[in-house]
Amino acid sequence: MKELKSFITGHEELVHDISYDFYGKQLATCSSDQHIKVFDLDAATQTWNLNDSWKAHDSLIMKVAWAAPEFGHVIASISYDRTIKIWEEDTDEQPGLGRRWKRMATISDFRGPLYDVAFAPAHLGLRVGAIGSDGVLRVYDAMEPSDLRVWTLTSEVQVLNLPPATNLQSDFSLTWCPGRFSAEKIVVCALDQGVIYTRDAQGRLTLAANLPEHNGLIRSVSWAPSMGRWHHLLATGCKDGYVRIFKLVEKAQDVEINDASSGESKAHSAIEVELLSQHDDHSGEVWRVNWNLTGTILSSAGDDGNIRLWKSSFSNEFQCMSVISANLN
Amino acid sequence: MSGSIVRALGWGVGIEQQYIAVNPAGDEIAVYQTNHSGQAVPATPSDDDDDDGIVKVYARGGFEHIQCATFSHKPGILAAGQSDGTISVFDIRVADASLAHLRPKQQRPVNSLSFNQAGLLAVGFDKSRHDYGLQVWDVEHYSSSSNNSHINKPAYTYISNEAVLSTCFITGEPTNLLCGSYKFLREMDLRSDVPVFQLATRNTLGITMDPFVPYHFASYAEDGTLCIWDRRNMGSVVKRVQSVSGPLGPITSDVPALTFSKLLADTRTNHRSCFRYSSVRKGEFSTCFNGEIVRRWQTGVVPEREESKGMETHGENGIKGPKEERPNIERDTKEIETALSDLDLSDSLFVTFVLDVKTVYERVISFDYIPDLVSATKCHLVCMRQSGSVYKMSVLESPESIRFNSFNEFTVSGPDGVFTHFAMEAPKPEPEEYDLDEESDDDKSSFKPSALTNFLRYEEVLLQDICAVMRARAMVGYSTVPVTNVLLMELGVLAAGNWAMRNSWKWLMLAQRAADKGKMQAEGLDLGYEGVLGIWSGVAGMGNQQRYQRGSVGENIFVKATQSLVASRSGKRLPTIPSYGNREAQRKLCLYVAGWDIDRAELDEKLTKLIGLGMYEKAAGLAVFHGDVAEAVHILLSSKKERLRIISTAVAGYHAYKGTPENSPWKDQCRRMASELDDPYLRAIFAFIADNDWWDVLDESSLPLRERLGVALRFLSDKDLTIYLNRLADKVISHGNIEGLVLTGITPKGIDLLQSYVDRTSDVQTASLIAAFGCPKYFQDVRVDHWIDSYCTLLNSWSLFHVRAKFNVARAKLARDEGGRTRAKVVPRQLHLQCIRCNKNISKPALVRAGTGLKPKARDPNKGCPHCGAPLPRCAICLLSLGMPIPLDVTLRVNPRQEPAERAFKEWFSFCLACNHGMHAGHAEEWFAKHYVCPVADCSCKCNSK
Repeated sequence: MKELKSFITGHEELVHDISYDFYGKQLATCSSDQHIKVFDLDAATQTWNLNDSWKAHDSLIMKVAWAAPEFGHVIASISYDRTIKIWEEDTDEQPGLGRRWKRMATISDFRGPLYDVAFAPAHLGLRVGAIGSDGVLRVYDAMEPSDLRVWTLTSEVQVLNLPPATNLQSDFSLTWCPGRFSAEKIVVCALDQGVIYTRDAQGRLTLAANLPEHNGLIRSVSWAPSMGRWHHLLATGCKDGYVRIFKLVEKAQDVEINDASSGESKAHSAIEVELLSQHDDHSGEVWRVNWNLTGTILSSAGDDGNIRLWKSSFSNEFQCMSVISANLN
Repeated sequence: MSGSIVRALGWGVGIEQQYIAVNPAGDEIAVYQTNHSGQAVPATPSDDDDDDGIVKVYARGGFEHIQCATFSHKPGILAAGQSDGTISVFDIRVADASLAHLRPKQQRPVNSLSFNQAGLLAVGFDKSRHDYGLQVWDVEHYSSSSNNSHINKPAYTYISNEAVLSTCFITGEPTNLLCGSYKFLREMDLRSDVPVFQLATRNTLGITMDPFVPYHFASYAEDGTLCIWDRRNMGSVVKRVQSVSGPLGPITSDVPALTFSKLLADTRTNHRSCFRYSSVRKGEFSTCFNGEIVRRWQTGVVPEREESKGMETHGENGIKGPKEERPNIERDTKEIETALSDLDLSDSLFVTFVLDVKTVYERVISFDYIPDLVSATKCHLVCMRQSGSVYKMSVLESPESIRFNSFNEFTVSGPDGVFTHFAMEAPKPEPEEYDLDEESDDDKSSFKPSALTNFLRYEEVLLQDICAVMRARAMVGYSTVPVTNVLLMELGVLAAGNWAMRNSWKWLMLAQRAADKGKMQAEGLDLGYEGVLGIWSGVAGMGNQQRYQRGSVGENIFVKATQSLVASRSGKRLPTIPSYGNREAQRKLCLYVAGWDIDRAELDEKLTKLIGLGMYEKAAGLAVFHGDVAEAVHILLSSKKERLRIISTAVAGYHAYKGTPENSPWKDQCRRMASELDDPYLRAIFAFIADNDWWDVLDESSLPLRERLGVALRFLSDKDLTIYLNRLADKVISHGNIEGLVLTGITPKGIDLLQSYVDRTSDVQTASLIAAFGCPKYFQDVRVDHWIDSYCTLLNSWSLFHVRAKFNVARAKLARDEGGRTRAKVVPRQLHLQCIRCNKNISKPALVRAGTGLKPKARDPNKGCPHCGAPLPRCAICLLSLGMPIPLDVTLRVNPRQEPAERAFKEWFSFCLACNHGMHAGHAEEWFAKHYVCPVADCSCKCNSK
């Protein structure tokens, strides 16, 4: 039996996020110690070798995300220091000296600490979105993907009307719909609200659906890769102790909505959200949910310290298939 | 004070930590020490939840109501303040060490004590009119053996006629200390009589320094309101109010960095609460509620904005342009901007998240942190209960992040550290766990979610997941070639045990063989990869497909085509079928498509083979399905199993009762057998012989679909067959039963089937491979594009680029129509070579301009531009024009075994897209095997590492 393999990242404080690149060959980690580290996989020995480590932000780094491989080795990081930073690997630099990853851009339009960042799926171009406690979703595009230094703010959506109090905990998360065969969709969770936005004919993000039933802060949201399925699967982890799995079906409405300003008529598609199931097996808060790359296994992590793996049964019910124990040591 | 436990930072012995505890009665002070000796690493979290995790190592009793206690940075030295005003300083590590007693001029309770690194002890006393509230004693020279008479009066005294409720030296600044009285919070500098600042606030109790951030400290008020302060801002940022002057100078009115209203219990009531800064994780503090829950507050810092430091731009990398330059985006964020303007001013502290830890035993009055031995980010707690007992408990905490890669491996990060699960070196295409008799929907009870009490090992879950299964299948060569797939499945390396998949590939193999030999094409109608249903439905089944070359298919064309197709195959004598006229040909073609075009000799051969394999039941079943009950009896009788021989006699009764319409005990018995027997073939045999009715066989859902289809095609009337086929098709489509492809064929209906198969299994691989046979050759479907895109993305992420490329090539080949043109959209060429002189595309042949009569100069297109004749650029290595053959090195003989293609590749152009220098591919290979830099002089381009 093969155990989980521990590796020493060398971060001085808690590692908040890890992220695989598209090929699973590189791993980026970020931590409270304001550093990002990138590791290269040594496939033969199944070990991670440090590619580089550098101080990336002026505060805790909450998330790192990889851009699609067609844009190069590019990562985005967000921090409580209110900035998104874009980094690109410079293969001419020697690894391990702190210079290999070049900062290409710093986006500092945000007014509060940032909680989550995500790249849009590659067919939408090089696009990154982030949300933080100013409650505004901002989406940026690199209009010329070969020039990572210029990012244009293309959408700004006020998700929260008022920023949360500093002496109360808050949480924000976002993720794009990874499928390329339907209109651009993004789900944003702010405090206890989960909202799905789609891009309308004018290119604006408009509200398409809400994720119901949450009775507390939504800690995490994950949109399953569709893998050719007709429906979408989405999962949330909530402070109220539930892992929730939603099924989303896009209904192409036959009703043509006439847009007065442009005179165009566009078929409008509505999203039907159905709560497939909710599970409180963690007996405590659920902190993270994440789908695997085929959207067939959902992982969740909760206050019991365990990781649970969920899988759909033949009758399309999700059930916990495996528990990875709390004490990883 | 009545009971507290505090981690004595700096007192640790090796890996063990020490804690200063005052018992609730206030008469004993003790040192507890963690005990990791039993187990180097605790095996399970519950293991160290007992009292062994922490043990009492030193204790000293005989005090009278200890009000407060503190520890020096010198391990062992403690100070205990009692209600009578006596402060005892002693070394607890030395048994019977002498006590140094410090006494104020007037006897009154000691409220607070604090040591600094220099051995100064700050003492906060209750109010006295003739004495100072804050006194600093120098106890650096305490000796455990002398009577310590040299410590007889305080070194510094401050604040007369006021009670000092709490005091604390500032970490790292031995001359400064904070103190709180009823109304004021002050910072004192020992070198000055005037406070550094004095702040009017009621949050003056329990001043605690943040052990990680020297400028943060916490204090609380009588009503339980907790404040976190930033010392850097005190008295400087906020203007001094000159008019209001306190007893010791001006009073400031700074606001705390964070305020938590009534977070702690009211100190005026009997409720106990406890506040601790984490000594393990930066920015964390904890409070204890009702003795049951330790709430861990995590805070984050938003650093000062760069603009407010006077830096207007973010250098060359920032977002350029003011807001006016982006008018096209909605800006309705005005309110938020004003609300947040305060936030921008300077660094601000905020709560990020809160973790609740339930204590193992209730009535906890005091607690502190214990660091973990292995992970620097994990912690344990030591708790003191109201009874004075002390225990250690583990803290469970959620992992921070879990991420999967496309290999179904994952990495977890959390307080325990970072862990990766690596998949096995060579994954095997495991059988899928899906039931095979998926049509028996009344049989769902066998798969109850609640029945799963024993969890699987996660490796198995991950390995059996379709993500790993698809990769393993791709690696063993699962492809668009049905013959290889069937072979792989028979060898057991691919989808072992998955009969549905195996049967559908077998059908595809037959269908491909027929289509390749042109056996499915006649009269311009191509029925390749059509299913039984499509052929039986005739023209109606051809809807939306490009199967006919000349416009739309008419009924007569279809009839003609089927007849000629059947005629071309009429080598065998097929069993008689209940169809006549046009329908006869159609039905025969259906039999061909379903693979049931076998004559008697072939059937016998097949039966013998099955008997040889010991599959008597199946052989008997097949015999019955071909209308030969006698043969079935014979087969069963030849079995070695006694049970089967007995059954054979029962089956033999068929001939006796066949004609009788009335019920008989034999028929009843047969019906009972048909519902009770385990083997589906035996069940089907009895179901048939009881009533001589095929419908009972056709409804036996555990029989392979193809066999039921054969029965239906051979025995049902035209009308019944139509009903049955449609019913069956609806069922397989809604269930996503991939075996049903024989029915639907690779048609839009087949895509419906595959879609529900994908919805159920997420197996885009099989769906893509199968759909490629019909789409886009006969029809277009966006769903197929979706699967193929998903599959190709997966293949790319597994770095199986060759598999993906081969799949794309195979797809284009499968999409070729009769004319040899492919109907698939081929990815256009992404690079063109342009002549440097005439700017025309070199790879396009020169156009003959009509009318001019001028013929382009006949040139070898490899040596120059076909349009203007300009030579191609030169190779940077051999300096010959590209396109010229590479001169052979005379010393080297041409390797005769070298492939011509390989040689041609060596002469091919190769350009660096960065510096535009080109060379022969072979030369480039040789050059960059030894160099990094471009071979052209003065060009420093690192062509090969772009």
